[in-house]
Amino acid sequence: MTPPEAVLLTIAAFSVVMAVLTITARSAVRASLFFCATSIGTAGLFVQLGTPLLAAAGILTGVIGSAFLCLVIAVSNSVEVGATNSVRARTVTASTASLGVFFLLCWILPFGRIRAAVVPGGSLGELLSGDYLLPLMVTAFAIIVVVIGSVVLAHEALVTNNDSQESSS
Amino acid sequence: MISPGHILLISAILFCIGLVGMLLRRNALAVVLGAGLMFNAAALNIASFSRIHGELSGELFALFALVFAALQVAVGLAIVIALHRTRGDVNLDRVDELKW
Repeated sequence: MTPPEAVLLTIAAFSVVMAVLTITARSAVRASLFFCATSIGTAGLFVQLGTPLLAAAGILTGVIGSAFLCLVIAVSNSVEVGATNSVRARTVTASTASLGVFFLLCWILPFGRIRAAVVPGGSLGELLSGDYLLPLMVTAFAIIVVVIGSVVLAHEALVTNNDSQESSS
Repeated sequence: MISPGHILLISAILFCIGLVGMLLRRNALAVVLGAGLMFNAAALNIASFSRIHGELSGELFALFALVFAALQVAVGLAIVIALHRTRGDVNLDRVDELKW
């Protein structure tokens, strides 16, 4: 087995194991962290494919999103359940460890990447500002709608919950 | 020698894992994460075919797929939070007010 194949096999095994742990984890925080690890593995596969932009996008959407999700859950639990400092410390430790793994993978992953079958002309930036400008604008609009919708949904749920608590007390 | 075919195989495995998680788990958060896995696998698949055919358009589609995956997770998270706040439970089997 050549070194590039070994790297690919390692990343693939890591991604698959983390994906299995994501769907089998009983704890929401752990599932989020495993999903974060899966996103890192997928980003590694994107780097192996020679598409660093997609790797960056995958890291941004997966890692930052799931880290945010993990933090929301941890903070929510610490407020509602009264979690001890050890839970918060473990959350911070796990986040730091995942960041360390991420930087380690950033150093390892570019090794032995796949070359494109045909060297494409132009660049992604030219395509985005040309033929794909309309999809880009639609996506940007969708992002705004989703952000506002998510905030409204979460806020209404919070208000409803507070009202029900006040009426019960 | 590594080829995009290997990546296609890995993406198929990831997609199946996400599908199993989405179909078998009852926790809403697990379903959202399973869907996120499937989005990641699909983006990986599109990027692999883009490499096979030497087209940049595929990479753009994969980029849009990743962005919409993030949007889906954001909406899913908002719904899960709403469920948890209003019902104190995120088991999808017990959320049956909207069924027809």
